[in-house]
Amino acid sequence: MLSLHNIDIRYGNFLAVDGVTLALKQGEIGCLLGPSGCGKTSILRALAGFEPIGKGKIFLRNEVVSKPNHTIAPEHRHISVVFQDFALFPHMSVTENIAFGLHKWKKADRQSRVDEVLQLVGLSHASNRYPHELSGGQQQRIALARALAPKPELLLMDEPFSSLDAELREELAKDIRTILKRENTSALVVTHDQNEAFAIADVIGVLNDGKLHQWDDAYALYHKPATRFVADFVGNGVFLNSRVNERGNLSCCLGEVAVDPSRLNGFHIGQEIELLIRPDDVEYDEASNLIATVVRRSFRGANIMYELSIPGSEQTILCLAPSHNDHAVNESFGIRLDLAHLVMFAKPSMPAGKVR
Amino acid sequence: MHLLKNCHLSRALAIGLISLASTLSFMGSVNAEEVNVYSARKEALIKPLLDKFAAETGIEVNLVTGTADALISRLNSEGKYSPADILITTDVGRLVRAKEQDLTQAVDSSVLAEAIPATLRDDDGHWFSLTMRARPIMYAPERVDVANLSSMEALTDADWKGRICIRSSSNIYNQSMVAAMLQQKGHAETLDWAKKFVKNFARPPKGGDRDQIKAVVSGQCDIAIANTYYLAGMLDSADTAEQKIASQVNVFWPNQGDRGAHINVSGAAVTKSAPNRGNAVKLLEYMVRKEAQAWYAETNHEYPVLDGVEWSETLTQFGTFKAEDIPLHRVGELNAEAVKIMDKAGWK
Amino acid sequence: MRALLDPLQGALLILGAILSLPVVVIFASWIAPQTELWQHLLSTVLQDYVINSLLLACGVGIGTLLIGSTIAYIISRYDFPGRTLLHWFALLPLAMPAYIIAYTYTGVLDFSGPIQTTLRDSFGWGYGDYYFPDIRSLWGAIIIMSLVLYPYVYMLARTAFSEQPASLLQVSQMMGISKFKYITQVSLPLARPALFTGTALAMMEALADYGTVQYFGVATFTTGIFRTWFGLGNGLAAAQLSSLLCTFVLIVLLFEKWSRRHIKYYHQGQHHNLQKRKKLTGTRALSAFVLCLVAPLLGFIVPTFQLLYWAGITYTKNVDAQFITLVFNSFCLALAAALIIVILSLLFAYTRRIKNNKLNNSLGQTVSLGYAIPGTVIAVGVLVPLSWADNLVNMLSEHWFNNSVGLIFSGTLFALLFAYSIRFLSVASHNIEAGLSRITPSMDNAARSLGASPARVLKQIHVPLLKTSVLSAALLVFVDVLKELPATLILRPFNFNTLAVRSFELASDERLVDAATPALAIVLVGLIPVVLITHAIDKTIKGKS
Repeated sequence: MLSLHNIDIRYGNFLAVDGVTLALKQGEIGCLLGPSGCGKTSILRALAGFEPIGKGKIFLRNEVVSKPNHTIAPEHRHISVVFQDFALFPHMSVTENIAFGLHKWKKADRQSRVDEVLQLVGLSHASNRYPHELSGGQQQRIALARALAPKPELLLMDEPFSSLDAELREELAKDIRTILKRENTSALVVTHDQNEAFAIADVIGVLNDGKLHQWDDAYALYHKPATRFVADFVGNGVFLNSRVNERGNLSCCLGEVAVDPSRLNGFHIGQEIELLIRPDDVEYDEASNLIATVVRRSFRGANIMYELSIPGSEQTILCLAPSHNDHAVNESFGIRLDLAHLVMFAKPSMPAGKVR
Repeated sequence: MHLLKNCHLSRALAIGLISLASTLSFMGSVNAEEVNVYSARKEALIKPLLDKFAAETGIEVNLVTGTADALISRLNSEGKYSPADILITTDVGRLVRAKEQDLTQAVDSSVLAEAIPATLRDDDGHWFSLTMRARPIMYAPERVDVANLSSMEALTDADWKGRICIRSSSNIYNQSMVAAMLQQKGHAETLDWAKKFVKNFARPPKGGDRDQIKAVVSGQCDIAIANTYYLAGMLDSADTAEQKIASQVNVFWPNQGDRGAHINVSGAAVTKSAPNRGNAVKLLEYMVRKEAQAWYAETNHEYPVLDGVEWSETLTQFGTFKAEDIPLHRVGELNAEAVKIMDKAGWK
Repeated sequence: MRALLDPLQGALLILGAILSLPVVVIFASWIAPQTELWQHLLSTVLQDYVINSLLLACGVGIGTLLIGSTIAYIISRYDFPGRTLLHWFALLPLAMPAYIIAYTYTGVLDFSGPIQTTLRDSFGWGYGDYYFPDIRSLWGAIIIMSLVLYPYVYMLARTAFSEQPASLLQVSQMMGISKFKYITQVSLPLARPALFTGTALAMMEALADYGTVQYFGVATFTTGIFRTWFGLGNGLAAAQLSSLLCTFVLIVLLFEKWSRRHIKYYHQGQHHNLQKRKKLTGTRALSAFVLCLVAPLLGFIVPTFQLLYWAGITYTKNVDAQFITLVFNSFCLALAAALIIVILSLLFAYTRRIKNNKLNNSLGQTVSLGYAIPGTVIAVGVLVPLSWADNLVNMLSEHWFNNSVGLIFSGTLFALLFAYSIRFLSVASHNIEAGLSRITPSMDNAARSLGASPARVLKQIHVPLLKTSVLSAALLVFVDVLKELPATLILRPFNFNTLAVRSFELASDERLVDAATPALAIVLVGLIPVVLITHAIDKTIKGKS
């Protein structure tokens, strides 16, 4: 459906996107996730045809739409875009805005399509209003309806929820996912918020400094991060200082962690490494003789997130415990390490600390 | 997309400009029998005469009016392709300036030589006076005893403190007046006169000549220096209030015992590049004919240069006078010095 | 180097260079320093010029700001009987040239005018027995110009006040902030960029004014330029003085740009909750009405009646076939200039939108300098390069075709339109850039991705959204050209007269009564666009609320 082959995007001497390759299947929802300035919006603009690419190729339905010195104009790509600021035309009513992309349709078809997408986004009653008469969430839905109306082969969304209230975001993200799936539209969403990404996407790419670090589903990003950046950026966790001991296992402040020899590829005995500990890897266990002390806590309804200090270690770890195990700061309780996924990285030259 | 759009725009613009330029060039094309006039006289004070000339001779007259200096700089920058044939100004200074800048040419016409006294035309035949304007003292008879009036020089007397109204030194009539005095009295004496004269002003200079006359009538000052044709114009005004004001002042001719009252002239010159030189000379000759001279006198109350032309009734009423007799070109040459003297005297 | 290769950029550079020529000519005068003359100016009058010009500019700035923002605030916040009438009354003074109301007020208020004469007659006073402010003074000039220039502030301020969201007022009320504090600490600072732009325009008009200050005997930089050029016969020193004025204006312009650097934040997001106008009744309604009426009354209605009275005396003598030609000439010239200038500023604005680089910004800056240069100086600045081009064309055509084509640039309407373009480009640019900034780049992109061709984007998105600002720009230029005097006087071709020239010639010949008919015609022709502007502004504001 959509594939990018090793593309570069440059602004003057600045390399904004560096050799990105990815592919999206028909009906799939992809997401580019990364901090601001990582190049995700540049990729989106290149896909839409607003930006030329310096290297590589972009295929849409097996057709090259972009390559160096050749950029098919946006209006010939059958791609729709939902912009961060929605970009609704202030002088047109909701109906006129949606019908804008349907100018080649027969009149009767046009009207029924407008009605159809309005119903899809649940705003049939607003058809005669003007953009400034709508709330932010409504404007967002109209922008989506307008983008979906011409039945694009690909829908691009640029930070679609950033101007909305936090509680609206996830709900709207799920709604939009439902709508897209119903229309069987392929989409690529750009965001810096991982919760949005998890809520809407089938497959997520994490970008940093113009490079694509991983292109995978949410589970894999969380549990099998390909790079330290991904491990750091996605989800909470701690990089615990560890060492590969003589037995080929890892020793750290939580004791010894057994490692399958096959996972030790590339590491050698005696090497200092960092072990990723997610909050859900640490379990509450009254029977354990590994006692940790509460440094900080935050109540999250069903769970409590504890930040714990371990005797004999400067690093703290995170623990997600069921809510009924209620401990105040400075109280201690027993914990147990239950590492379902072993994620470790060679220690970078800089001292590693706690993350997120 | 912007790029495309702007290409459209710039193309449209280019086409527009080209077609505009070609239309304009047709408009600017030259006719067979015509004469082109750059006039510092206002349209209303020259056009009727030009129309008569055109009707009589069949020569089309094209006119553009403006301030004299602007017209001179236009002549200057247009250079040898300038369409202008004649430059008309309302003071001799600008004619001299045009001659100095090599923008005029000599005309040898017996008609002009006969009609215009030698003192009122250029020795080399570059410019000719067409009318004269006088700048006497005007006073409120109930507050000023004529016996106390004598000359411009006497107006520096402490008696006149706070009683004199005159317009700004930016005005050409005042500049010419002071330049004429410079020619006759020299720098030191003129500067001294100007300093004392300014001290006697009733108010900072403002407005035109008519305003000075009005100020006399309303009591703000007792005497005003103004050109006669303004007073005459007020007497003939459609506005009865103006008529009433003007009837309340009298004219006094200063310096009758010595150098005479200050006069200035309006005049004309044929430009150096004149494409229709013959027609230009014809027009000049027409303007000193009796009917033309009488028209000036009647319409704008200026004094004719041609002898034997009757003055308007209003002018006659102001009486005859002795005018200064100085080489007119000196007035033009001394203009800048006159302005500097007035600056130094604090004459606003 | 790459800029030269881009055809659009190249075309713009050439156009910008041509339009900057007159300014360059003026600055080039420093090649020949006039030491002696400058010493004379420095020791005598220069100090007066500088002080008076500064006082005039600042005075008019404060005056227009006070009048313009007060009326704008009342009209956009309150509802009271007569409001609809007043909100278009407020723009009327736009159609009134400053020099014409200067003439009329002098006629009315001067020592020998009807008011003072009546006072003297009824109380038996003579000169010096009573105090009466002198209209023909610096203060008079400031008041007169403020009365006709405040609409520049009013227009921009009204839009700015109308766009302020209601939430701001509500928040302030909940915090117990007084009405006065809300206005001074929230409303005015928010509208500041708009207020400043309007004030800067008015100040530049005041600095470039010649007719009024000359008539009032106030020695400013402009009258000084004329005096140096005409009286002292030194064109170079006059150009040097002009270049100083230009530099001053450049500083004001840069300051204005600098003060607007955050303006983008003020326009972000669409406010769907605009303030409702508060209904006023009784004395409060009456005082609002009176406050809004005073300026248009003094700036337009009173002088118009005086002109009507004078024209009534003389119109039989002055209205003939020739007069109709004058009206026609003035109208067509203003219309043509408005079209050309709007196209030019669209071109500049779009190029800047695409390529917002230093080159294009400074190009825009230089080109808009013309606004503050006195018309006469621009005229000379235009004459020099155009005559040079004419001479070249004639030399070539004589060489090739043995026939000279005449002065096709400097001797035709081209020269006038060229001068107007330089003088008024910045008026149009201000409006058009403001309009263009409302169309976010993502709107272009959204339209393109929905399959619209560039032409369709232009037609369906840009044209409708820019319509109002383009119209306002065109109408403002139209009115300005209609009133323009000095450049028209110098550059017009043979046998081509306008209403402004006619009324000036008569007035400067001190025939005020005769000058009234053409002056009144300027006001009437200028009224048409003013009514249209009001209508357009209304529509924009309604479209938003």
